Amino acid sequence: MTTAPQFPEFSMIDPRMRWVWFAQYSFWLSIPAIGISIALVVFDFWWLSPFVFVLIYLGSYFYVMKAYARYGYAIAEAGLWLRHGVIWQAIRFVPRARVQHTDVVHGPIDRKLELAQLVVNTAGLQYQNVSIPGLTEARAHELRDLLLLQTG
Amino acid sequence: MARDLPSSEGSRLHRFSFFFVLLGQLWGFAPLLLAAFFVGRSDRYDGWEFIGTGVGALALSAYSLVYTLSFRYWLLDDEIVIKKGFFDRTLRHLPFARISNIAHKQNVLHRIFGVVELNLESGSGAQAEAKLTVLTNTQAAALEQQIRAYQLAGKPLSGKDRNLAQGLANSSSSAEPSAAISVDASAKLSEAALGDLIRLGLISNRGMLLIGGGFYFLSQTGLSKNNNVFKGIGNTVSGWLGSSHGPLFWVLSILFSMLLILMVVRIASIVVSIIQFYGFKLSGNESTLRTESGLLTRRGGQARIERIALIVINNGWLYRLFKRQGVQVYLPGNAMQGDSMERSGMTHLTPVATLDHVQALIERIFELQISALRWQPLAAKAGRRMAKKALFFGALIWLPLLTFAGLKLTNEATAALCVSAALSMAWLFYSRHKDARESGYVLLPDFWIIKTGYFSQTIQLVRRDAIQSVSLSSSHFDRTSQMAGVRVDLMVTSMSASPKLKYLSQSDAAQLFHLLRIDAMSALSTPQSPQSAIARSLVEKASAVSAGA
Repeated sequence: MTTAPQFPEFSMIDPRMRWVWFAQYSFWLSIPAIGISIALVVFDFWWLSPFVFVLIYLGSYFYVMKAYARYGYAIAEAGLWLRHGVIWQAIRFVPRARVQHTDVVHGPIDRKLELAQLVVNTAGLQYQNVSIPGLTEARAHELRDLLLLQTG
Repeated sequence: MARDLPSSEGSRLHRFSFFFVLLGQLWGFAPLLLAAFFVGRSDRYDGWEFIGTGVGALALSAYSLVYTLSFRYWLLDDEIVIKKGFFDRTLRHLPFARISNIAHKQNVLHRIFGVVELNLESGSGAQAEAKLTVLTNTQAAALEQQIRAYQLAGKPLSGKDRNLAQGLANSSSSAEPSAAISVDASAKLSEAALGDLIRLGLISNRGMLLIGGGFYFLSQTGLSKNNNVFKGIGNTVSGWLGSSHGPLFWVLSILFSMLLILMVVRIASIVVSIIQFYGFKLSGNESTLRTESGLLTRRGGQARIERIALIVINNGWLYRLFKRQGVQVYLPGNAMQGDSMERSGMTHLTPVATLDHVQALIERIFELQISALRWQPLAAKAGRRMAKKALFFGALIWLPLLTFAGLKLTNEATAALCVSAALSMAWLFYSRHKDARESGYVLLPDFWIIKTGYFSQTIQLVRRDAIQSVSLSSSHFDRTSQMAGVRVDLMVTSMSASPKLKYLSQSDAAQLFHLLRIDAMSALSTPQSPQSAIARSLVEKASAVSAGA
């Protein structure tokens, strides 16, 4: 085991996904932030509450920027590559021959931003669905066709 | 494979099917009924319970009757076609070639009526693709024979044999199947003796579930209120030591309680092991394996060897103490179904057997010599990484405890806790280093073999052509230690069967990732396993025989 194997060149997803993720993280992290703020008010440390929110939103922002920079996909002749994760980083490979079917999914925010998500389904258990978010509608369909065209 | 149905009316299920479908429905509602019985006990009676029960019983009976009457199946040359449903009609074509697991279940009632429940699984979902509740033993045997014969030769049974098999499958008599069906002969490969099942009970913790259920029952029925076991133990120990309640009293009480719990768990585990694996039998030939086991409910399955995606050899310290091993197998589709806590179909090659027997079994079925493997080690500093992680979590538990002890308990008690903490941390340090030294992997043409741990050691044999996707992952601490892990996803429906190997050096992990990736890419187009070769040679032989005839 001497030569280091090469990875393909990864494409970035749409930059607007940074704001989608930031909105999602901020929303969910606001729930514990509200809880902490209430506790601070009860214990007479109310003046710390704004700092909690600032800390959470700043943390979310930097995490999302890092996550966006790490997120990448590549469709090679052999199959689909996915690179993701900030603290726990992973590179995943789904062979073309293992793709069962694909879905192009649009969530409410996706529809607003005219984005789509390509979901690739395999017969595995742990990673039944591998999804690429932040694609334009046309790009999602293009990738889907690219994945399925050469499967047979 | 959408073909027209044959003009015949097809075969119906057994005439007692209604009864078994209804029982299955009631079993599905059992948790609800139990909850209503225990939680909703009330002295007030207003008659609604009777009306509700009556409506529920009528609805379930109607469903079971409609299901049974509308169910038809056709055994064609290369597929089974099933039509079911009255309002929502379903027509399902299940090609024999796609069937990876034939699971059969026969509880006491099934045996009284001479019937069996058959599930045909292809691995395309968590549920069986075809559920035949119920068939006569003869019908089930004939169906299994026909599928097995097709899969063995890659083509339908010919002439007389097919007519005989279909005749038997369509008959409703429960006579023994005729030996005239000339499909492959199966040899007995493994059995589990009663002594070994007792050993398995001592090794495994299968009884924990039973004990947990027992405690829940006692807590719900209120029996535990007047029979506090621990109070009784305390009183017994107190009787031995007079009225003294010093440190010795507490130490002895705790030790005695632990010993008692251990004994009860072991006895329960022995009972569960015997119920689950009594009369375990593995039989098969070069291409197909068949198992059956169970004291009350006989469960089992039949599967092609090449469809086994993962083999797990249990080799923990208790197994080693008794000089035994256990071998589990995972197939596409043998999922935990409904309320069942057990996977369906074939789950074990042997629940427990001697080391020699397991080695011989693996060698015979998979042409592998486990003892001759040369293991590749984990990264050089893997032991240190694993120990650091364990010590961190150990400290998270011990530090608050010791702080509490220092503030609230006597000096003797605090000292005793400090000694326990030091011992447990030393144990964590030693055991993680030992685990790292004993872990490793081997990459063979057909299998990726992973050995993990020492004290709870398992050896996983991952069939490389069953790999669905591959991941190369690393945490922040992995990256600072120049390590990474590799995980593969298989087409098996069990979360416990997700083979992964962490703490590899980054270069080894990347190399392994790429080699496994190439397998997954080429697996479907060029099956290279020895069993595929055997299957191909059998097809060739069968063709030669037919040509000669």
